[in-house]
Amino acid sequence: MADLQTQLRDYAVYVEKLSPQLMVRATATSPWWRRLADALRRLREFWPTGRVSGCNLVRPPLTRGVSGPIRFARRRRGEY
Amino acid sequence: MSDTEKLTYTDLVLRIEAPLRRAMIATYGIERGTEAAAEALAYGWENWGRLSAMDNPAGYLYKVGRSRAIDVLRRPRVLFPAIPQSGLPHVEPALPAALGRLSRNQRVSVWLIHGYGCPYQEVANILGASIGTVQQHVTRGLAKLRSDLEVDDG
Repeated sequence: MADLQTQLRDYAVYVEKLSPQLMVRATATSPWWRRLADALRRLREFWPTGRVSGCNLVRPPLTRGVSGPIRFARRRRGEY
Repeated sequence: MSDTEKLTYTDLVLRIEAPLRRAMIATYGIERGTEAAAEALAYGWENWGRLSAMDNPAGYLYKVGRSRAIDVLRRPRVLFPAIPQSGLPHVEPALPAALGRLSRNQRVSVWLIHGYGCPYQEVANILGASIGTVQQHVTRGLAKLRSDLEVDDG
């Protein structure tokens, strides 16, 4: 059996290999992504196309719960 | 004002993601710790304007991660993963449980300093403590581990 500090180092290397995979899972399953989407939605106030770097992650909130003709009229007015 | 003023959020994440994640894992175990680290980084991104003016953003985000982890504290989980059967033959199988029995600050200090070779100053920043305090945590943590595992290599 190696000395305690060597054991700690080796075990930490093992845990380190696992943790980035878990980090990806944590960011995908925790409320993290939802908060990211909320933040992007807020960002949309300054970015009316609703597209960020070509990714259509954020649907323009004005399109939700708004009927087609109203949405069409708003789009013509350039609201989004 | 410190040089963090000139940093972008990406720079900050590149600098502190690993120590923050490791500290959160040492505090709450591998699963809950990684979740807490992800939460803390997300909070940092949302509040970058305030965070960018701080002298010790890593310490602040560590506290944020701790408060976020409270949400999942009720879920019973293994603190550290068991030693794999096939690998790490020279690591004592009781080590993960013994680490779990240390106090939080002792575990973070021992884990970061002896597991990853982090400098004492970096650990002191994360814990918001002095270097002397971190040294005490390490000394007492190692002594407790040696006593728990019944090893005498010190």
